[in-house]
Amino acid sequence: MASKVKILLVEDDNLLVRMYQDKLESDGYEVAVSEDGEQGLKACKKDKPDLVLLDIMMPKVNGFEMLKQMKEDKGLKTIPVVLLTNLGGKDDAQRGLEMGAVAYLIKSDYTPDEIIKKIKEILHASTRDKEKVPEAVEIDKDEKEEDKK
Amino acid sequence: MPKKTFNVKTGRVSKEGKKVAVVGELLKVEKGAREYAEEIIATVREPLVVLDMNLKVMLVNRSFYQVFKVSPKETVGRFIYDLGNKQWDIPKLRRLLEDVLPQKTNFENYEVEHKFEAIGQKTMLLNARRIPRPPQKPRIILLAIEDITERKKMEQQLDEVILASIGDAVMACDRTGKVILFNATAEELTGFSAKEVIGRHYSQHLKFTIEGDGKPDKDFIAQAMDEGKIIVMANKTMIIRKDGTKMPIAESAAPLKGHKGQIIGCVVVLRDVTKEKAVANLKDEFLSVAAHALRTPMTAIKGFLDMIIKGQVGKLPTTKMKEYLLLAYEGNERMIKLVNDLLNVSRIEAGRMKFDLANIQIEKVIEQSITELEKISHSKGLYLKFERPEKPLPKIIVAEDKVQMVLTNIIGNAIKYTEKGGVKITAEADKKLVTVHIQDTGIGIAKEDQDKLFKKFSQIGKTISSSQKGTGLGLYTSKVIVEKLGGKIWCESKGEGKGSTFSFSLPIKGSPVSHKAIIGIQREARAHPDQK
Repeated sequence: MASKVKILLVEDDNLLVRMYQDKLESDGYEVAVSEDGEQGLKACKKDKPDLVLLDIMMPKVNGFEMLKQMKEDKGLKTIPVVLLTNLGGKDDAQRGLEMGAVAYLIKSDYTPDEIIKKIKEILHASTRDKEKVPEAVEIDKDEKEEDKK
Repeated sequence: MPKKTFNVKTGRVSKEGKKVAVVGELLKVEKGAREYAEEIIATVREPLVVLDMNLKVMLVNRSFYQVFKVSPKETVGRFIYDLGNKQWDIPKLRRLLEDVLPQKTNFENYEVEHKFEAIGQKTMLLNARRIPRPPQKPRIILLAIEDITERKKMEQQLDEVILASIGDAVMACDRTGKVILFNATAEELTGFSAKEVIGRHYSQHLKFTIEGDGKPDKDFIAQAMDEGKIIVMANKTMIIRKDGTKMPIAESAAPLKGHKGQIIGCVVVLRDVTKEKAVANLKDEFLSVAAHALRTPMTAIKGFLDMIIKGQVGKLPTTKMKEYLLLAYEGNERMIKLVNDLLNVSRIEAGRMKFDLANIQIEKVIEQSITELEKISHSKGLYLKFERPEKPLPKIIVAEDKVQMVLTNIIGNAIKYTEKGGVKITAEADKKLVTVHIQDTGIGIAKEDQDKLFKKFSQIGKTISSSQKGTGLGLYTSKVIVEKLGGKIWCESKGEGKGSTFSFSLPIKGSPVSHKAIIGIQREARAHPDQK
């Protein structure tokens, strides 16, 4: 790989930030950190990360809101978003997937290694299917509009 | 009008009043025996009347004179109905003596209420018997009259006092739904007075809705009467009070049955559960806040320990250190599991667990669960295999993530309590059910413990090491989930040391829960239009 893969971690808990950041960096990723959705959106626009790890429960702009705004932004909607959730938030995670997140990780269920593995899989799939991603999103939209009728 | 006379021999009542000689007959009875009988009659404390078959009074005891305030002159030799200025001409008594007694040799405990001039309103319990006598001899009738006026009054008062002082609201209605009883607590709870409600259909004042969506609740009172069984409503009902406010209540409706078993009405008991609800909500809220606050640091501990143990941040100087860190890791894992299980239980109990129903292939879910648990079974040197049925099983309508939760719980347990051998999973289907069996070669379960297994916080037998300790919530959660999906869960074991088999079955068509099921399937069908 010519340049490092950029990951934006949006998480408000210091302990977790430190853990994920250290792990990702030691595995060769470039990591930017935002503490809430508002900062996260700014960072997204500025840095154009290859993947966003997004916590849901955060102050100011929460994960859902940030995800929604990303999907509404032409420049950001193709960036794969992985939700970081708790087990209790499984229903939330489902909602996140419907909103366009590519996957969700239940934080307490995964070791850092497993999270890295998951990220690699997702990045691999997203570079391979880069052309197809926007198309899939469009189909989804059509279906939803049909539902409304 | 000629007097009606009852003929004991023919069992008929003749209009002309054919006389049958009887007094003479009685006089023929041996004197000693007669005196003996009279003594007995005189001693009995309740009023007693001896009648001939023409229903004329042959003999009464002292108690009769006392209770009904009549003299012997006015009584003996007279027709029963003529007693006390024809006061005894009671339709019900006529029916009993003339219709019932000829058919049967006796009648018992017939309640008769009548107003007497001299003594006022009386409630009496009547018992009568045709006294068997030698053939050819006329028979006689013994009529016992128990005055239960006082007792009745007391019972009634007692009922009233109980109903008035009881802490629950009590309402009763007849078969047509007309309210016949409405106690003080019911007045307080609903805001309506008994005066407003009694005599009208219950639905005019008592209105119920389901908590949350505001839809009217089903008519459980009508249901209790139609089905003839006690209906207890789930704790999600609210009553709409007179002032329009809503109050959470617990309620039950029990049908009232007549002596032939026919439904004659309904008793409804309502209880204000505002406080209980508040406490339950507080508990849920506390649990969810505490769990969330606990989980984040536990996740961090898990991550950091994992990196240290794997040597990703440098080599550990001693094996002891690594051992202790592993123990710390294990302890942390247990805390995570406990918090998750507690949250699940609290969510299930509060009715907040979401069931997204869809048409799924159980084999797929079993394989996913195996993938998830393979690592642990391999590390213990156990086999973990799924013997796929030859033909694919029919798809079932369930919530996939919940079924997976059940499977990982049971398979996880099986691995935990097995040291040698392993775990085998099989599945089968009949017309209605898909059943999954999880069979292990582990420590087994003693017969007496098999019932306790599915109870909350139950942990039975000895676990092999402390690290195997579970939370005692897994099987309870599994049971609740399976039952919510309309299925059943059970376990079989030949005893300790002989392995166990846990099984659960789920209805293919899904449980008759809600429209959610249909929505879920529709969604699936759209996603995979080729599958039907």
